[in-house]
Amino acid sequence: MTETAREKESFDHLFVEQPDLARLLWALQRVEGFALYFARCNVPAYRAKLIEAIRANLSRPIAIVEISPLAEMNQQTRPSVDGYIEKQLADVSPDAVVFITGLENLLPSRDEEQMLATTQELNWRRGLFQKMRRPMVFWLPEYALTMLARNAPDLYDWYSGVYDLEIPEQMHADVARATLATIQETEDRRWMSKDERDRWEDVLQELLAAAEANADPDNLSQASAVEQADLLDRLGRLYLQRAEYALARDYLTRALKISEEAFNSDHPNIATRLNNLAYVLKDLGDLQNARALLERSLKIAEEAFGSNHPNVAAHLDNLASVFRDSGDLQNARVLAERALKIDEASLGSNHPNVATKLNNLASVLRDLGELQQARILFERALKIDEITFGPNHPNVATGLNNLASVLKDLGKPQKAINLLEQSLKIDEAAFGLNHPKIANRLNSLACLLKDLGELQNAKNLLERSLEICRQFLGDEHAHTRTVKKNLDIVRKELGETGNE
Amino acid sequence: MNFPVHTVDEAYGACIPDEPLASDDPRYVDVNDARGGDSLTRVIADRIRRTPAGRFHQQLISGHRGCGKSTELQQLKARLEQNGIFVVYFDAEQALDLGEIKYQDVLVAITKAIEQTLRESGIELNSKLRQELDAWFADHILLEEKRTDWEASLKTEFGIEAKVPLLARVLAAISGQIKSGSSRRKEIRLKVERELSVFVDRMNTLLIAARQAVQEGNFHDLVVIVDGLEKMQFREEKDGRSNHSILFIEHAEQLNLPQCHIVYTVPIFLAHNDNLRDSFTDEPFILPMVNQNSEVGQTALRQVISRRVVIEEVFADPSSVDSLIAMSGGSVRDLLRLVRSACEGVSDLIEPINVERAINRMTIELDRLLQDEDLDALIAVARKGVVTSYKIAGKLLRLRLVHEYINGERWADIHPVLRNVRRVKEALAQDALKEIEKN
Repeated sequence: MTETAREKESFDHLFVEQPDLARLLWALQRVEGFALYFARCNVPAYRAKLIEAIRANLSRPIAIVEISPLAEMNQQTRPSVDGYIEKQLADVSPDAVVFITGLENLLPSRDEEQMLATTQELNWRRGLFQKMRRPMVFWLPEYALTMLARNAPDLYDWYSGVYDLEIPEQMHADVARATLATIQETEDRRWMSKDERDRWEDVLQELLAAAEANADPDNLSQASAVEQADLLDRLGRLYLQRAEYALARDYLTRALKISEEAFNSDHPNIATRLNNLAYVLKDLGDLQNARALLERSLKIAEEAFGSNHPNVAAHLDNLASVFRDSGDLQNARVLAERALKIDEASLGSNHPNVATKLNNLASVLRDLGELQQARILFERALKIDEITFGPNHPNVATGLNNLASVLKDLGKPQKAINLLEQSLKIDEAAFGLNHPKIANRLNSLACLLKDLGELQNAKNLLERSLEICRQFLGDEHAHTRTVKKNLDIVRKELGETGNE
Repeated sequence: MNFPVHTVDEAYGACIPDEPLASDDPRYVDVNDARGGDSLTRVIADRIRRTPAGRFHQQLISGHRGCGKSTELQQLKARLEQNGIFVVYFDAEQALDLGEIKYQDVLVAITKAIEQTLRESGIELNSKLRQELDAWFADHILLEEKRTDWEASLKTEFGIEAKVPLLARVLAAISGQIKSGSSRRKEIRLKVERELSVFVDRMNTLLIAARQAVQEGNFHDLVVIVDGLEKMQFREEKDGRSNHSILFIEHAEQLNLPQCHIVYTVPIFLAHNDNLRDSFTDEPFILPMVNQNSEVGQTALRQVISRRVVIEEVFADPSSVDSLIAMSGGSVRDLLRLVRSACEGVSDLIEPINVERAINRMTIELDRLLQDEDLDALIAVARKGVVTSYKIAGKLLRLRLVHEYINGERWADIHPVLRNVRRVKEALAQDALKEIEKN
């Protein structure tokens, strides 16, 4: 058997497993001139294998044009996609089939402007692809293909074939793990869009299912416990971001349980689980249990790391916010100051963690009526967040909101309204229109409008806010009750009675 | 390739979904009767012919993507030329940034297309006039300090040695800057807007000279056809107006300024807008889909295939073609795509199973285009058999999930393939149930 024949044979199974690959090969073998094809494949590594399989069986050359370098260039001045492809093909045989990979880098789901710019460009320049007179196969992951189909309908409508190349079952877990690694890197650095979070959830659930299937629940190895607890924890935090509190609590409780089974009760891993679960309980209004968990987690952390470690600061800070929510402002202040001090000493005064601590302490000071001091700290925190995360990050929205609250108390309502509107805009983009954060912002904004006498506007905002609160938090949650109370007051002032 | 072809391999090459046919292509089928409306070529050629001297006919044309618009415009161009009319045809796709078109861009592009078509046809303009126009465009539209820039950029468009008149180069520079989306685009638009009356005056000077020049040849009139504008990206502004209505309705007056007969293509759902109808001389001509349910429609669509392939030699069961026609929704493009798709993987004859698979694949693709939020609007069209609100159904028409037809009156239906999509099936069943309960 010759080398090529052996190589060919090693790909045979792929054409059996993937009937669409066989169809694509058939088409490419026969097509003349321009034709547009889309191959849906979600995994670059697998895609490479499929391309090699085609290459080994196709009796004409293949030219692969990787688009990702374009995504690195300035959007205003970069060459067009077709122009770039044409240039890459300058010395390629006229008989070659063109495979285009990496276009998804120009179609980021978190950046709608950029996505629209790319799809518009592709749509109106479709004729220039045709003019190259070569068969073109765009290899795209599912989301990018759908985006292209819906937003560049004139280009897409020229397709001769779309080929679904689903990765095989046994590869799913590997792929999910690789995705986990890349997302982990970016998770803390930037905010994920809603679509990205949805995909992230799929990846995590898939990994969790694989981890559970591989483990013996009666005799869980420590490595497996760590993996499962980590996945449960990530899912829990994801649901928390989405304000699906009950789900978040379930996942974080499961994560805690597994960690407790696998580790001694004073292991730092348990402290983290306790802390995260407490966070959800606090948001659910269960302050007593949240406090109990945090006191436990703080103790573990102090014993493990010593009392001046940044890890300890996080627990202190969370405990402080529980105290604040419970109305115990003096204790809250002591803990928040301690947390701030630790972080400033160990991380430097411009670290984003310091911003979190500043915000928390400033909130306590505001509640204590020390408005000028609170304002200074809020401003410092906001500046750090703007520099660290850029102007459109939800952390910045929180900072703006905080600053607005103190400006309001300082008698500067118009300034406060401006900041709140800005923060509302950021959060709407980050969380969607229907999220407890939005309810919170609407409530704050409404209170200001009410003070200025804009009762009708205030009422509209409060109604929107109340609807969201009820949906996510239920009627009995403290936030829901606050919003309801505010709405009642406004209605009364408007002379409306008794329709709620 | 000699049509019709005899084998599946050749059939794959004979059915191309992205190719408008030239006016003399042997594959061309006149499906106008099957569309249920008048012939686009005949109607518009007549309207132009009947326009009294000294006045000009402005015509809007619309139709679904893939319904054969560009092919019909090629037919129109050929017919007009036979009638002794000089035709300036240009595709906005090649000339403009369809992502963002302003009326100024269209006027500049028309000016450029006229100059270019004349030059390419070897028709000379009066050289004194040419110099005047050149000086004006260069001084008023191109900014002084940028002159060196465009001289450099022109080299790429024409090559350094090309002997191209200055006017052509100036116009190319202006439209190039508009198209490239550079920061100069805004400045140029502003210039055109500020000096609109003078700009149009120059443009019409060019048109009058062009008409004289073509009359010295063997033509008696001049028509400009602007194809591809319907592909302009749809965007809604904050105040609820769309960029489409801004261009075609609010700036209709400016689009009507060129002193010549002119044909524009417009997005299909805008063609029904009453304000638009008020702004142009005649009714927009809407090219409907072929009605695949009527006998004449089926015959025409069958002919679309039989002009390309010998059905009996390529399909194991010639009645398979009927299923493909039924699933095409009357779209020639979808029909060709279905045939192409059914060929894939076939070594001998296209069997019914190959046809079924091709239909299944198209089902997946239409499912991809349909978003849950549009499901209600889709079901409403299926129930009423007509598009009642172009605001709501605009997206469905744009994505071609809904087709419009004419027989006697206008009607609409969802793309037949969508009835295979599970979400749609379920929603239709539920809707039917509700209707029964109501009665």
